[in-house]
Amino acid sequence: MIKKIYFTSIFILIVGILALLPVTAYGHGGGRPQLFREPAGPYLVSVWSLPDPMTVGEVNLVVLVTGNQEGAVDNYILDADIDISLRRGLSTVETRATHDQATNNLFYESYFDIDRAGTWNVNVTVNGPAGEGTASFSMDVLDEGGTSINWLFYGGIGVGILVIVGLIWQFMTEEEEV
Amino acid sequence: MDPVTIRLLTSWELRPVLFLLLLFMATLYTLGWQRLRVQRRSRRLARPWRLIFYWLAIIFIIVSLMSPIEVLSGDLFFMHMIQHLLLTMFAAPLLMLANPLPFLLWGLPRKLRRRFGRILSRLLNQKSRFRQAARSSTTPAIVWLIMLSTLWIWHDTRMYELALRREWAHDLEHFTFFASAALYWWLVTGAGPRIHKNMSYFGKVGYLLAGIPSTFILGVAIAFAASPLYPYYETRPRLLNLTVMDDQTIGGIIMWVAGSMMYVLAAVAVIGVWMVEQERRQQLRMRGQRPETRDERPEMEDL
Repeated sequence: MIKKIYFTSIFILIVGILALLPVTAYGHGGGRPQLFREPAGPYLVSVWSLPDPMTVGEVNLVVLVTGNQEGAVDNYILDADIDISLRRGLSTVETRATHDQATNNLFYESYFDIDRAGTWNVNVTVNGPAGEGTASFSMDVLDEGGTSINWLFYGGIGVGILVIVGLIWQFMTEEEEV
Repeated sequence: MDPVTIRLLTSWELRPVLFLLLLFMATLYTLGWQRLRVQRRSRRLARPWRLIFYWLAIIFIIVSLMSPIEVLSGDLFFMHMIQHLLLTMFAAPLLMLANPLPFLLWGLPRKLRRRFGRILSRLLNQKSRFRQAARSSTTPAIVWLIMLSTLWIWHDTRMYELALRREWAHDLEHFTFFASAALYWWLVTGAGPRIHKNMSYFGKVGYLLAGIPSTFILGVAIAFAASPLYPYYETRPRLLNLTVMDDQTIGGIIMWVAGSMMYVLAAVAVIGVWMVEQERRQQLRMRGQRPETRDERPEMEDL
């Protein structure tokens, strides 16, 4: 009986947490800034990278291109081709950032895999109505399997659930004894 | 419409899992509402406005977490403030006004409902220690303090920066904002489970007005800050051509004016309901009928 109550309590709590989950879900950071308004021919290029810190596996580069006019109102370049190439020794990754992959449609984004840790040199080439320009930066990629703080967060929630369930169980069994 | 605006308005972050979960909860509530609506005893509980409020709350959650407001909240401080306002001042009170517990319970299959009902009645009966513990840890003063400290702690520069840079912290921020707001509005609306004494109308108005300093003081402090409080935004593109300081000032004003205004509006609404209630009671007395007390209301309303 107590076992039944215990598991039902867990179920109730999970449903309760799921009910609140919609509000907690998916906060998104903007990523690590790699370039910020860096001149690239007739453009200014900004690039952010995710995850932060960057690890081997799937990575995400977010690119914003504006016109290179000093003091002018930002002029978003929305119809450019953005080619990204990454090099580390003999390893090369070529990818294209597009609006289709972006959450914010003013940006261009690209998701791709990096299979080796180390320092990668990245070239971002913008080919748009005003011509072509390239901006570069290097970024460090760490080995997979580093400590992920998300596990701490979700582990904390798990422990919290267990504590609450344990308390509820205690309250219930005490009342049964009464 | 210019292409930039079109791009911004079409920047939705659709999340199938979240959307399905919200749809599931809304369906469960609607089913429960229908079941209670057809029963004579609980007809008064299942009023149409509750269903409308629940769905509105769901819509506000969707808008704040999936629309361009969410997409832009990472780049613009004032959008982040609007997002928090929608969650805490619109979604949370509407959800509590909809009194979700009995409806969600009645949306469940009979066997499951009875099982949960038994557990809830065991946990929440008058003599239960759990009820006593929950009641003493959620007094209006404690809940007010929880809400205020949650809001202020997360707007500390380091905590806010952490939330913007780390996804888990951002999740935690939204969770604590919503949970503390839900607690606050739970006491005001008297939604189930009803473990507290029913707050008087006068008490509700006072409690709502006591909420104002939480957003007022913080909003003013942010709006009149002499320098950027959150360096993160200096590394973000200046969308809508707002400088970091303009963005911060607008965000502060939103929290100060709109945030405080919501408490005032809620207090005015409570006064309105209070007056209508007084008039109804007076009419009943004039007809020689005795107005019912809270204890005489249908049992389900107290769940």
